[in-house]
Amino acid sequence: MRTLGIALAGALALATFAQAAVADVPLATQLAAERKVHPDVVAAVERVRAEVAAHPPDARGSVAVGWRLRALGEQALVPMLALVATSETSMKELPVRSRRALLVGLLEAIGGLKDARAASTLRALLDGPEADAQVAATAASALGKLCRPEDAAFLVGRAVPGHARDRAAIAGLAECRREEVVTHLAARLDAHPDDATAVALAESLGSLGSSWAWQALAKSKLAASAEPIRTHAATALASAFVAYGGATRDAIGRALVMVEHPAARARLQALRGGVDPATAAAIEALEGRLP
Amino acid sequence: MFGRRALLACLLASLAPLPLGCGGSDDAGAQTSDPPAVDGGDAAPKSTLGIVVDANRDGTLDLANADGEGDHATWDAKHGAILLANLDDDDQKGAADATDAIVNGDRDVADLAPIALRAWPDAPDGTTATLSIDERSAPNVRLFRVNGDPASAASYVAIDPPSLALSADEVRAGVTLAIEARNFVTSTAQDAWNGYVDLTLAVKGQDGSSVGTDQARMRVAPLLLQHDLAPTESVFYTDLGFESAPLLKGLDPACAADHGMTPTGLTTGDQWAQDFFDVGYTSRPGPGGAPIGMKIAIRSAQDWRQAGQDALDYFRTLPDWGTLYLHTENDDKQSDNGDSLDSFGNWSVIPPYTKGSESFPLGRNVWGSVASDHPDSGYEDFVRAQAVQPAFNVDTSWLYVGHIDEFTSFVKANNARGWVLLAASPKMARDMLLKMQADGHGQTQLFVGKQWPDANYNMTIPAAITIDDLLADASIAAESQYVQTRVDAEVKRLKDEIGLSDDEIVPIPFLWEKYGGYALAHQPGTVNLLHFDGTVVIPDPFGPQLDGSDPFEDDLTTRLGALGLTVAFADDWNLYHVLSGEVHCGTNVSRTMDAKWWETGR
Repeated sequence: MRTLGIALAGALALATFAQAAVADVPLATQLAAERKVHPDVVAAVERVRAEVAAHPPDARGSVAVGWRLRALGEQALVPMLALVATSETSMKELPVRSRRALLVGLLEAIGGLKDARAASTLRALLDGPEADAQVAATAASALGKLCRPEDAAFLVGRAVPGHARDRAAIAGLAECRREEVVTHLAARLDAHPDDATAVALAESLGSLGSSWAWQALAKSKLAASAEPIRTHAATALASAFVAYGGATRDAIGRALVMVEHPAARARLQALRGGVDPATAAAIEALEGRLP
Repeated sequence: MFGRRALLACLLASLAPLPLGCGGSDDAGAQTSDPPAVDGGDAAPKSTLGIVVDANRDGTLDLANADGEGDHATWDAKHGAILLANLDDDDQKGAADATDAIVNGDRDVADLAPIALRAWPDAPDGTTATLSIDERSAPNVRLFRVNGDPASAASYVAIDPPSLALSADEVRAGVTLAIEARNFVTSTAQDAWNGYVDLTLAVKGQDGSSVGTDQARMRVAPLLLQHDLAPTESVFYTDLGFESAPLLKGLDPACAADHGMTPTGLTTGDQWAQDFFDVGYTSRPGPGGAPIGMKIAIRSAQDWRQAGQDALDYFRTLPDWGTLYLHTENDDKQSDNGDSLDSFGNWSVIPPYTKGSESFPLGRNVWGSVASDHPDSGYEDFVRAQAVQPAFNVDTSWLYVGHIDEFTSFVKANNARGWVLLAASPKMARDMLLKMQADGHGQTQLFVGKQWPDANYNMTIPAAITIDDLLADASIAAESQYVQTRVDAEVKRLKDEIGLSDDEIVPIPFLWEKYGGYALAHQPGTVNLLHFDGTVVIPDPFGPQLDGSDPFEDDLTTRLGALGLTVAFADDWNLYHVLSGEVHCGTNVSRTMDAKWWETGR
């Protein structure tokens, strides 16, 4: 239990923060300050970490990790970021189950705060050696929730063929309802990537264009973006629906149902002429589920 | 009415030379001097040397009337004897009875299938016979010779290896035997044991020449998993003291009313009583062909989960309860869901149905499994190998916990089919909330008086949220819509496979959220309910209070009540909902084992 018992402070002392600075102030410095201002919150983060390390949670237990960290609110941002930034050392020897639960919980809680101070730590994780795909995707989603132009650009820059973080970035972009994001993802889908990537792109486009989400946002300042984003998503997905088959087509169809935009029907009708009978039948079945 | 032990005593006594008053006039131990024409099957003259098994499945050996046992060399829907995997622990030694070479007390006698070698009183001097078991079955069964009172365990002597050489005197006197299986069929692999046990009796004359042979085919009973329509005998939950009180406040009266049951609290630290064990059973024909056998408590294939072992330790102490634990080493799943799919909340049984010419009288095992995200491969193969409840898989890879019971349930209904499929419907939940909002209730709160956990896991963070705020949450909206498309896809697959009509699929409203890239119920997942004998215990939805009642609760009460169900609610918020589980996840049941699986033809 020696490794599992490493205290957060000790781990931080070992860590390099060159890439994890927040607003030009090293994270370690910020944490030291937080220890004085909110010692109970820092201790609470450390306690969650120690408990998760000692008792690897199952799937349900890992959700509780997120709840506990989320409950600490914005005062916990710096200690949570510090823990994420030092994960390569402080969590190196944790059981897989503990490490994943802890990092996903931290990143969910951090993402929920939508605090720009988190950006550099999230970027550092995504450009670092993190090997757990779910952790990387959750980090990208947290960055996507920030959704400033620079966050979108960062993720778009990694959502490219061959990039180690391609899939994580695609997942993260689903949280960022910006026109340049949908333009990028649509272009990727138009380029006919492999099936797994196409499914990931479709799911993100479906989420970006989600009719229910946009209805939820009807009174927000984002509302003006709804029509171009949804139109673009629907059109790209409709083209891909014809271009792919099997389970990939099914996933694209589900995304189209989420976007629920008339542009999809128009695009499908335009493409219908040159398709094989199976695709024509699939289009017909899908159209029954579209507006 | 015979008890199980008395039954076996009579059954075996029927092989003795004198009738012992166990009924069945043709059970008398008739010994004849007919010639040894033992060529097996229906052609064999009765009352000559030959193998007798309960091929006609009436629960007794018809020694005097070989034809009465029908064709004992084949095994199909109408013929063929059955043996049990003897996995209960009748002598309470802490291990299955099949693990040793003794009959573990008189009660264990009932778990053995009887076999007799009919006597040939006039066998010439020098006659010999051998009884052998096919090569694949031999290591998987244990054969006993019965010397004396068949009701007494002391009369049973194991024959190891299971091959018997008989002298002329033994051929003349006949032999009484019994057989148990050491395990179920465990694999569908071509080179694995398929559960059929072929017994061969070869008789030779003094000169060593063959006088004749006889063959009988038996089959080890499969493990059957319970479907939700079978009558319920017991309800289980994990007893966590005062923390269990809110659940029990709803569960206790529901079990008591009309059912006379008191839920059994299991002593372990894991509240997910649906997940760490499952209950199945295995059976063979008893008196009049009615099934007898044993319940099987199955531990989930999660070696880290102590509660699974605790459950087996408990159930092993119950009379006629066996235990089973299969965990495939080196099968650690690398998917995000890990081995959560091994939890039995991810394993269900489609109730019995017929579609066209295909009939599934015992239902079908159904669980979440796709190539990229599947349960323990060994356990999956084990379930498939049981054969009588053909498998069907759905995709649960989009769920954080990954269990089929997060979005479906099967419950009894007063329709022609006798049951319906309940399916999660975020769309319905959203439509209901939008209507409430349109009706001017946007500022009314859901989850009033409920809390989310704080950093110390004390329930102190108020959960109450207005309808307006909930509907303005784009993340919940997007995830709920995503879930609707996934549920629709899986329900369509079930619908097509089973042949369900639209009115046999009942939407159950609640919204979802995303966590770690996967879906979780945001409102209490009311589809995750406990069903027993027409009663459903549903998670309290803690919806908004409009005019003194909760529209979500009212809706479920009305629509499920219209199906003939008795509807009860239980508060599962603190102990289950906030940890992404609900009433079904926290309970379990033991049901009756009335099905005659051997008639399915599978």
